Amino acid sequence: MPDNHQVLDNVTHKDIKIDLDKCLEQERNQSFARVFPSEFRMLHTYFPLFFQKRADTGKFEAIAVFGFSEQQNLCVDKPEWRIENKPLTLRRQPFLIGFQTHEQNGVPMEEPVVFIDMHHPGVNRHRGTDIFLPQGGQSAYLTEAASTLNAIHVGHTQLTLLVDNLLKYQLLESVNITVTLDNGETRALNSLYTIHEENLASLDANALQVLHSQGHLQAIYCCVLSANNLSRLIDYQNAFNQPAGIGQ
Amino acid sequence: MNNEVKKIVIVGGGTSGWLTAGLLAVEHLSHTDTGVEVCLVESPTVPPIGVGEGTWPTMRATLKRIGVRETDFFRFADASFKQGAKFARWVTGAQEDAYYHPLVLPQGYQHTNLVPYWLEQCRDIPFADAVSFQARLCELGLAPKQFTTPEYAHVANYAYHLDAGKFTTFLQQHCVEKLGVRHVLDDVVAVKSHPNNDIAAVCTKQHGDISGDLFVDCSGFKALLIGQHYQVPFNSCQDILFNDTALAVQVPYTTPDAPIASHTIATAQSNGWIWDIGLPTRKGVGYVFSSAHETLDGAERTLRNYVKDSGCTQSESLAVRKIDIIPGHRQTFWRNNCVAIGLSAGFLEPLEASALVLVELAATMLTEQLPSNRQAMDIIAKRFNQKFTYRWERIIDFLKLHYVLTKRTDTDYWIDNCRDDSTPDSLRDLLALWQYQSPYHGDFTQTDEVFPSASYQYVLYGMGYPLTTPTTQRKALSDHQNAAQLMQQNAQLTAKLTRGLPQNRELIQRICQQGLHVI
Repeated sequence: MPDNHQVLDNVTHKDIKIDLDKCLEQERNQSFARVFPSEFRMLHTYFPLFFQKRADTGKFEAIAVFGFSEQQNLCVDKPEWRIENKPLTLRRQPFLIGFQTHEQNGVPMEEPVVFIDMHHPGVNRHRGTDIFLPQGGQSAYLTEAASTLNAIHVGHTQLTLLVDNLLKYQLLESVNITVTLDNGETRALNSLYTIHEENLASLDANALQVLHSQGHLQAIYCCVLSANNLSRLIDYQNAFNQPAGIGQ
Repeated sequence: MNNEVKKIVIVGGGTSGWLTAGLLAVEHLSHTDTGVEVCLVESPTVPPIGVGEGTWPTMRATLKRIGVRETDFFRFADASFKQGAKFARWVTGAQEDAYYHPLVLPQGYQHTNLVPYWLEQCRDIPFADAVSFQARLCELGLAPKQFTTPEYAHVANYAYHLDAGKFTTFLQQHCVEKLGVRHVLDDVVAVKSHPNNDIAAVCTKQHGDISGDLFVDCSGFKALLIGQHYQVPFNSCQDILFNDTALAVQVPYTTPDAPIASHTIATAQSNGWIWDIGLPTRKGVGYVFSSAHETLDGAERTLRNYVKDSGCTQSESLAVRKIDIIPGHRQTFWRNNCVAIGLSAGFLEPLEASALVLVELAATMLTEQLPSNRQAMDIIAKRFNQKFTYRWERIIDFLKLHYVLTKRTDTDYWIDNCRDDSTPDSLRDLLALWQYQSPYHGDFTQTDEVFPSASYQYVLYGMGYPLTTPTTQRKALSDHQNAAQLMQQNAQLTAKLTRGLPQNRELIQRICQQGLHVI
């Protein structure tokens, strides 16, 4: 972990506050976020969900898309997100999950611990929400973030299982999306993967049973349905391009 | 005689035999009861030649079609990436004399010929660098794709280097286990004919007669069927391409993590040239030369010196294998119900890795146009013979091009190579034309040319062939701007790719360890 990622403790970080406006500012520059299967059901009504390969590991991750170009987030409309429920990986900021090795009865055990990113723009000592109470207890904000981190931790395992099945049943296909805006310009989303609907439709009973019993069938259909949100993103983009007050 | 083609017998189990078997079996459903039966008879006593370690990009489509994973191919065939060839010392013979023939087309090649602009504006940049990014990738030892690029997909067009022996074993296993090819290990000792001179069966030592409707001769230099049985004449082209002997060695890397070159290095010598092919576990190096110009001892000395200069400390103790070659091809490749594919059809020095691509092209055409019965066969055979006569001739022309453009006069070998009477008329005509205009789409008009005109551009302008341009304005100014823009794009793309692509060995290792995604 880089130096700016510190294990959170109520002595070193007792004065730290989180400036939520700065957090939002940061999110405004994020064109996508990693998501996990447990969130698909909630997110699929708001965002297009896709898969992509991580550049560092080559492994598939699931993402919710917010914009058509780098650092563009069409889903934040000043001063707020257009929706209430944003992905876990955004709600955990500026905290991260890390692992520390503890000896337990002489056996080394990996234990998840909360880290804080001291370079995160929301982290400061002057303005915003406290993370520790004056007596050193966790603030409601931190408690919420810790439970989010825990959900992400579990989500990694769930995602691996889902992706294994998607690959096993050939349910992913590569897709390049080009959208044409009202003003004639085009925007493209490349290197993405989506559910292979033909293969999905031709799954046999046995495969369906396997996917259903692991809760993956629902996750898969959530991804399929989430594609409808692309038109919403296009609407946002068109509105964004439209100079205010003209043509109304 | 049953008229329908239901059973194909392939004689010979080298790379060409198994590639042909694989393509036929997969397309004609040999693993099913109703498919075409494919039987491959392989001699247990004749060892394969085991050269042909370089392929063309076509091999990616071939392997995909046969249904093997690219990851498995890397794991089992000791394969590496090939992004073209570097020709060293072919022009002046000087130490720094070198040019590239990359596998990507020049930028915008479909609609713009960059040669006139390059000659006028930026001759000081090597042609391959000015119009494509791939030579730079080769120089930096980079792979042609990323770890996240799916199997068989590319960032920069690529082919392979491979271990021919391991590749054959890999194909054999797939063909027998997955595609339903029947494998018979036995020697063919005689041929039985029908009254019309078609082959009825090949007679084996232990498995009796193996009958078939169509026979494919993949028996290598022995040419059991097309040569020994049918006596189809061999057209030698040694008067054009002089090289008739090769000495090959396997060279270990100096360290296990030494870089693997992602291109073939072809270095011209006094009386021939040396190939240098990097596989993950070793290099394949060989001197192919003209025995009329060079003695065996002299050639061996040259080869060992090259190996020593490349940093190998065991250059004196490496085992050298001698391979005799007769450059040329059969007068016809398909006679009666027998097709020759591979070395039985012909052989040319491996200067542009034409051996395996010809096998792929022949096996693909046979597969796609497989006559369903004997009546259709003669028509397909005629077409096949015309097509492949044309292809062999074009390859001979293209190989000769590498020689006639030399400025070397240090040995008789190079002087003789430039003699007019050693150059085919077809090539001389083209060279006469190309004094005044550069090769482009109009020069090669077949839909499936072996070498595109772009390849001629890379060799001609890599070797500095002069071009006299007319003084009158022939092209609109917009063309000029377009060309400048394409070269600009190429420079940007070069910068971007050199930043984003991994080292060749690093990627190959990762593929073998973790596997590429199919999608």
